[in-house]
Amino acid sequence: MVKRNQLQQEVQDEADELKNRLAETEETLRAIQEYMVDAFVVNRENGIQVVTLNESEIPYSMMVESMNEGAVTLIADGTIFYCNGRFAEMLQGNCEKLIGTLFQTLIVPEEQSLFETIFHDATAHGVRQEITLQTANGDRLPVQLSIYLLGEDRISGIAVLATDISDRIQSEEKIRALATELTRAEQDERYRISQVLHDDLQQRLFAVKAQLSFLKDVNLSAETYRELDQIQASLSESIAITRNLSIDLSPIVLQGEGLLEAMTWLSFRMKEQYGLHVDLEAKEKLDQIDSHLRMLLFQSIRELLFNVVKHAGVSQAKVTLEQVNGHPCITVSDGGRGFDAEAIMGNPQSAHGLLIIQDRLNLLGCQMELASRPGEGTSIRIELPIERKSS
Amino acid sequence: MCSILLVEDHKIMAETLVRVLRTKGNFSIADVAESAEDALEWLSEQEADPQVDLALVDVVLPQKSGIELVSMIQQQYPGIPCLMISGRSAGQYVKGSLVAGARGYVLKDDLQDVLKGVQHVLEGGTYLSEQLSKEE
Repeated sequence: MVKRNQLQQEVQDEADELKNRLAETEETLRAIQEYMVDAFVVNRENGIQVVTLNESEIPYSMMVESMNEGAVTLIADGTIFYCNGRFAEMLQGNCEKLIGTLFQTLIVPEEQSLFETIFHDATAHGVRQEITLQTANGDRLPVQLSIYLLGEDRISGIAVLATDISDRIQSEEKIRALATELTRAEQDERYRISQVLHDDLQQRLFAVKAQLSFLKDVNLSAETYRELDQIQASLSESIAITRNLSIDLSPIVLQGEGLLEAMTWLSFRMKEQYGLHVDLEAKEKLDQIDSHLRMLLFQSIRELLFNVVKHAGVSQAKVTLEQVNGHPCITVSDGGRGFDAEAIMGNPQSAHGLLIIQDRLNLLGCQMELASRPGEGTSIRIELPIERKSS
Repeated sequence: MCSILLVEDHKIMAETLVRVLRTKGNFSIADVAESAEDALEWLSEQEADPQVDLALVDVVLPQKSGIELVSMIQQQYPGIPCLMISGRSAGQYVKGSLVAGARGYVLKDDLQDVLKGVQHVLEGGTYLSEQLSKEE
């Protein structure tokens, strides 16, 4: 009886061990099937051997080859060591020809030095830059490059991911064209209203004022004469308002002259109408600006100067025209009471006018940055776009 | 009595100017043209020496501007002095008019000044509205 019980226990133990080994084997198989194993150790007649599962690279390789981004690995000097099919397709070439080529030579000449800079600044965390590649057919292809070190130093290699951004650039150009059209339509409408004010309403007011003067030629009581004088004075004020409105709606200085001339005129006008002294500093003339952008800039700067008059509590402002890092820039600043820029700009109601200016400038490719703190004045910088050459 | 060719496209303004020139300046009006083209046509219809002592020309006219008209009158009829009249006081209009050969520039909202300008130019002088020096 004792012997039988012992036998049963041995059978039970063996069954448990077999169950464990089966579970272990199934887990190993699952790991292999799911590409979680790169290699395993086998005991052969000639000793222990490590067997590499080359197939485990297949999914990675498939992923790199099928992704929509160009993927390239470079050695330290920028020579291409590997590239995927998508990158070759983007450059209208083939991988065999691209491997061994210096990556720098695939970039349009005017942006090669920019690439050299970011290439040498690359870290394991990566750097990003929009750059233009030149295809085998000579076409220009805008891409977003992400450059990463593969190890801790450049010796381990460098990975480059290239994303085709030509659709985005085209969309931006379309938006810019629509915004330009909107600015042109608005300017045309301003011009039309300005002409109506000048060519019709103002002429009628002149005529009425003159006709009133004929009444003075007949014998009038002193009281009637005084009333006529008052009417004529009111008409003179109406004429002045109409004239100013007509000029402000469509300043003649904007028709064909440069931004500096328009700013000079605006400075004079702000002083004359609002007593605001505008110190105009022109380090650059900025005379190569598209006429529609010039009109929008003029209107934006005028609005910003109005803001100084209304809110800053000072009678002096400064407008600077200059180049900063290759970008044409215009800065409007004052030493007035300032405000909490973050709080104001984060509230669409309080920043309504500024946000409209910012949106319209953005649509034409400009960037507007605002710096202000209570008691420390305000500085608003408008950075103009550098024209990108189209493909 | 001096005779004036008035070139003004706005009807009410033209009628007012005619009345002012006749009644307050004692001038005669040779013709009222509504455009530069009409003015040139009227001048060409006159005899070799048009009996006009002065052309009073609005700066802004339909099609050809008043400045262009003055330039053409000075070329074709150098004996006719031109005086510009306008509601606009911008420097470039004034400068453009003088470069084209106008002998003066007056503003429409001061008709006494217009009469003063007409008189000065008829006497062989030049005249700029006093308001211009105060503005742009």
